[in-house]
Amino acid sequence: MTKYRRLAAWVIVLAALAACSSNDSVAPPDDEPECPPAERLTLQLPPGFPELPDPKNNRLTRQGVELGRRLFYDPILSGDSTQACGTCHRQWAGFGDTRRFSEGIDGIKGTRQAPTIVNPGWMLFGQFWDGREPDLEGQATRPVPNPIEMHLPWAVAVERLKHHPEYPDLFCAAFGDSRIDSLRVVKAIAQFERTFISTNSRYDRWKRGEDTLSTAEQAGYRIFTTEVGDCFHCHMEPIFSTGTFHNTGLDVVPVDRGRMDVTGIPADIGKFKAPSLRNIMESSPYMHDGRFASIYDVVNHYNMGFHDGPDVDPLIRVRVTRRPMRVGEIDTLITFLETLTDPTFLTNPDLSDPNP
Amino acid sequence: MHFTSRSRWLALIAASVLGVVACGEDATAPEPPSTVDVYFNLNVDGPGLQLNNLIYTTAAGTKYSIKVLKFVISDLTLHADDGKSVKIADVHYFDVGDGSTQTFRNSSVPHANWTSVSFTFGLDETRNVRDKYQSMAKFHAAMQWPTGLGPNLGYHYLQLEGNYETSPGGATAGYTTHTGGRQLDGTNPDFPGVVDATPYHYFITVDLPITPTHIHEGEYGELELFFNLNDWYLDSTPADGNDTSYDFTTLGNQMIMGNLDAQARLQTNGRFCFSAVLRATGGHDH
Repeated sequence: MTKYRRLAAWVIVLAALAACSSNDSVAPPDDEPECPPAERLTLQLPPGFPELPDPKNNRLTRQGVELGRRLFYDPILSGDSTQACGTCHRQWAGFGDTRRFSEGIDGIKGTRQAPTIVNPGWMLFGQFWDGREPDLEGQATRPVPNPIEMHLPWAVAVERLKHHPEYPDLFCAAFGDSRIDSLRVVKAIAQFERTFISTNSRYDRWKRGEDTLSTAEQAGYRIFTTEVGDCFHCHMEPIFSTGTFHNTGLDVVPVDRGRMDVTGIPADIGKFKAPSLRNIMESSPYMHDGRFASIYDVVNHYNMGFHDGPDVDPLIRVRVTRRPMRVGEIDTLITFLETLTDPTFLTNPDLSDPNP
Repeated sequence: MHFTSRSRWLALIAASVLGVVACGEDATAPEPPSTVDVYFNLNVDGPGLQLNNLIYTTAAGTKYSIKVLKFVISDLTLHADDGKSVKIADVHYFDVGDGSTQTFRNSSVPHANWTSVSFTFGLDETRNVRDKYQSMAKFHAAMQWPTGLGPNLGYHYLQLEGNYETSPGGATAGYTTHTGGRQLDGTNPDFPGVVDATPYHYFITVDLPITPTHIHEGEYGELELFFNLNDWYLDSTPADGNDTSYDFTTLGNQMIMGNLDAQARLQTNGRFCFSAVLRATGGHDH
């Protein structure tokens, strides 16, 4: 028995030594990359912009962004191959939808407007109007299988991509091998969306000293950035959004419970994310349900038109006892909002549909 | 001195053993640091904090609730009875709605007999600079000070918001206790033509005694910082003749970010809302 114990002990020791030394000597051939590593992409940001969060598990690469761009605009990801992400998220509308409610492939309309996608990489508190997904990758998982949107099971979508003449090579270039799965699809789309960066409006150029704003536009900026307009608390420069959630008193009793359906907290009833105001003049109608056709309607709502109540955000409620903005001040404020339009973003060929 | 062959061998073996021991254990290695976990205990005149509940009452008798609480502290430092001090946080942002901001750990604390803790509630003049903390993404996104109230100023140091009763048992309204500096360049429509280029910086320097607590090397401790939020609205030094009480009905719902009187009252009152406890928890990581 002792003899066998000794033998067993030697076997264990030798096995351990073999295990220690095997790391360098045997490289499993299956792990050999099929494609060279993708090229890291570093975006150049103007002064005043915070560093773009770049998730460690989905670093931006040139090939990843290019793949994401193809996927974003490709109707292959919808059940009847008629709709892509870009069908509802139109570049010329700040990647939003100018219809009140978007319509899926089966002609069914949703209950919220497709939000704009402008500088989405800086939205730190969640994606969608109610923040139900923490990041862009999570957001991109939803519309493809949603029965009222693109209505295509992920398994079918992946099979289509695997049998496509070009996508296997594009995935290989982006991820090092040609494996295709839904996680890689949404990673690529998220990479592309992180490049939706708007930094060249007249406001931006004014801030950089490259352009001037008129007296009225500058006066509007002051209304925006003081408690007179009090826009800044939710739409902070330079992103023009804090990415946080607020009940803005749209309804006496919110029809859509918004953030509450995500957190389960009753006090979150009627809260929706403050969107970026960049390119706001191009993305009407407004609010999560597209109820306001014009930006005047929106400003008038905040100024005097909201339904006050205990669930409304204190930042809105305090306006009950403050002096409201005067008509002239509202016009001046909107004059400033027009300077947030960024034509180079809205027509940037790097963000446009690359599919033939 | 004469050594026998046997004793030479013994000496050689002893020297070798000592050498091996010395190699494995650096005689000059520093003592292992201790670890301190920092917690924030927010309350209103009693244990626990209930959000979104109209159950609190100011000294002036106004019932109110708390919905939002965000603040920043800096230079959090422990001080020992031997003159030693250690900074355990440079800048820390707290948001009552974000659990990831509500506690943090420092594992590089030397062992000592700690007798006090100090910090700045807010950011001093050297730190309260526009865009200085862009790398603290959530803080930067939520707490920037608006350019219209200070082109060069950096951040709010407190955002405390909720509802209050406008009369006993009556309707509620909202309040926003937002604190920070002020600098006017003549273009603020709420202060037409006023140029006041010298920046006003508001922050609070806090120095709190703690029961002397020794955290041994390699062991753990907990620093609990208590903030009684009701004290922001209370004149804690009525005898000095300077009434700093803060009434929601006259200040809470108004534009107070550029109101130097409101900011000064809050700065004065805020000094009295803090206390701290340091506990040694031994060798266990809690």
